[in-house]
Amino acid sequence: MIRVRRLVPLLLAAAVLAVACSGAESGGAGAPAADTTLDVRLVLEPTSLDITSVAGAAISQLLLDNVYEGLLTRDAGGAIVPLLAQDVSTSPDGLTYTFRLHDGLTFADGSPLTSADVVWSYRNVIAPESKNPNKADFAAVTGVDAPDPHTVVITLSRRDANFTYALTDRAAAVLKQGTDPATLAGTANGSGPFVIRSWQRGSSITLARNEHYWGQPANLSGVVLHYIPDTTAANNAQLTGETDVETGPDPTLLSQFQGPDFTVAEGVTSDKFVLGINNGRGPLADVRVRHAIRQAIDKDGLIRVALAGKGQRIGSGVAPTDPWFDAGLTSIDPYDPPAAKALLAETGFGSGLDLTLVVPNIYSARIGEYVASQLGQVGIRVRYEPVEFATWLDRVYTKADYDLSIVDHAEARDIGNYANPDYYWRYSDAQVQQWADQASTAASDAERDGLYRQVARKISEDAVSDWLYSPTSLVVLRAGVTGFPTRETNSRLDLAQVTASAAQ
Amino acid sequence: MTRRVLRSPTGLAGAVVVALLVLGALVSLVWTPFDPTLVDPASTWLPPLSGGHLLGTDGSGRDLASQLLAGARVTAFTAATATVVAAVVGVGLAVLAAVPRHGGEVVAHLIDVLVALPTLLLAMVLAAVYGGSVWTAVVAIGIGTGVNVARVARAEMTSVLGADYVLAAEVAGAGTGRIVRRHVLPNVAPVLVVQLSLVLALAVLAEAALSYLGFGTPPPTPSWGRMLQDLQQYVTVHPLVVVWPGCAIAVVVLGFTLLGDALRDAIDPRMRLPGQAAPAVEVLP
Repeated sequence: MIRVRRLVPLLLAAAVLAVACSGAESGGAGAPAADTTLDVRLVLEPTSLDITSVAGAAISQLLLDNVYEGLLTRDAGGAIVPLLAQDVSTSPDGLTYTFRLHDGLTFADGSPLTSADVVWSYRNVIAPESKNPNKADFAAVTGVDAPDPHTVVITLSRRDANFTYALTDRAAAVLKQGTDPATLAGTANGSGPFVIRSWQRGSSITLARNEHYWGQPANLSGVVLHYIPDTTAANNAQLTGETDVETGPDPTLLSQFQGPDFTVAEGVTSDKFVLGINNGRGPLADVRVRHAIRQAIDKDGLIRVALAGKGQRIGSGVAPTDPWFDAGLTSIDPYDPPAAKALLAETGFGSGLDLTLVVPNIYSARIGEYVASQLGQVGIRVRYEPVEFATWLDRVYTKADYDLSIVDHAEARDIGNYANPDYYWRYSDAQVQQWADQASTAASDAERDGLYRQVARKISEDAVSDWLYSPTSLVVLRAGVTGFPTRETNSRLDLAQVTASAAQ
Repeated sequence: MTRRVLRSPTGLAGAVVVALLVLGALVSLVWTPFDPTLVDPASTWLPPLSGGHLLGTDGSGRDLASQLLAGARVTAFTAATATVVAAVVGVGLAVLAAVPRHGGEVVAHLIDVLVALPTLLLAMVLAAVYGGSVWTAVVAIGIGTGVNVARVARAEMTSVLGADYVLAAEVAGAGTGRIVRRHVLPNVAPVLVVQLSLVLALAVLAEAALSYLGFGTPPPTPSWGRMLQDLQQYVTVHPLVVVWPGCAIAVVVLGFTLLGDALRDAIDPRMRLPGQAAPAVEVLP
């Protein structure tokens, strides 16, 4: 017994020494510990790890940049930058893109990543039997070839002004040649700085640093992503230190995170909360009625009520993340209930108008109740119908059996939907369709952005929809966590640059 | 009987609460201090007694007192109609199960099976299929509580059916329908009244629970359960607001329960005369 007792302090001393030495190796006191694990709260858990055939932002949020990489990526400011490619050259006609890959690229299993893997992955996307949800991103691609192991040549059938953006997104993820698609749902062998260590379904996914990473290795040794849908539970987890980072906090409850222990970082999102108007239906086909609807809703008030001010007006179907965002469009149809009433009287609906408002019940009822109440003030009687999302997809999105609807269009750069006359807004305008067509094949970014700005202004002047707001992306960070992404965190969460000092 | 109920303090308290609920529901039909669904982004989270808001406002600037008044309507309506459904279901099943015909045993077992099915679960299934509404809540609560009523009523009916006066009526040539109408129902009525008064309390609670879970009254119709659900997430920031709907639900449930207790005391002679055996409730007409 005596011997054992003597042994304990000895072991303790040895342990302290070991810790001190490892600390010294990683750069001494104050530097981020090299073996830190970060606990992060996310909202939506993916149903599968298969990035090639399963849709949903949860998959790209988890896997893009972290586990899978594309030829290009987007930096923290949203700019398109090379990733697997070290440079790209474009032919003068804009139809041929040539990428030179970095040397020494490897997959997480240690095997080399060559142009053959890129060709195999991208040909799978454009194959006729492809189930890739982002297949349309590669619609212009006619050929993907590998003249040598370091070069990839992609040829297009027409100019595509959004092609480099598509190469930063999930269609561009590079998988190892010959990977059995059946294994992708549960495992992932990408080239990113992290690997999937474990998945506790219904609870968390653990990422571990990829020790074979070809580039600058991740700062963190691991990240545990806790899927906590309930905001109160998530707040409690953050307050008690169970999580280090809380993404997607309820903006109306942020006062809990005042003080030196937490910082709340803000960023922009591609989310657009759209009050969809069925342009093909009865009184709503009259542009004056649509203007009246827009003028009846105080968007600034809604941002205060629903988001405690953490959002911004957008004035058209363009998010602040899109290069052609124009904040000036918010001056179209300002909040003016008397003007709205006058417009309604002019159209013969001065005595009132009955409309249905169909809203998926995944959103806070506060938004729909607010809109219904405000429209009621100008004499538009709204029957508010919360429905399951599947019902919404069938009734509103597919059959356009609705008058008004509220839904979050989270997709970035999706203004092209307004050029589709069969989209659920049922808006058809030859000029908009022409501009959108020209924009998608524009020779330069400036030309493309100019044309999309024209589209954005025209659809706002035509009051196709009312654009309620784009919410601010919020992240609550425990003191000591730095480098956490703040932009579009719902669909992309590059964790390689994050550092964290050990929790107190 | 009314006098007997009102003479007991608990009965009086219960009656007052129930009267207030009905009064509030009726008043809200014609008048509320503010439009309960009117949002006002300029006056969110007002404390009580400010800006003319008796209980203050919620995060959308809606008047809480008006929402409570309008919510009383949903509560009173759901409780009343669900109790009617429960009475129909309960009496119907009990008669089928108690009257000695082929099939009675099967119905009795069916009742036992249905009693085991939780009301909330039934309501959620109905809401999933038909969409959440006041009516799905009414039907689910009515059926869920009705089978409990049926179980109690069946036992009472069976004992009444074994009484000599029923035998006498049968010998005199009375049909089953007449016996049920003239003998069975009047004799089990007191028990039914007590049971149904408890159903009222259960219905208030169940409606609040269903709306809280999102399976009951759909927005924007104000409902106490939905108010509670909407406001509880702000309990750490605005602790007072959640008290109002919570208290309203608790007080009304208590009121119905007290009234039910007083009714039972008033009706059940065993409660009035301790130590004495229950006399026959009614003799032959």
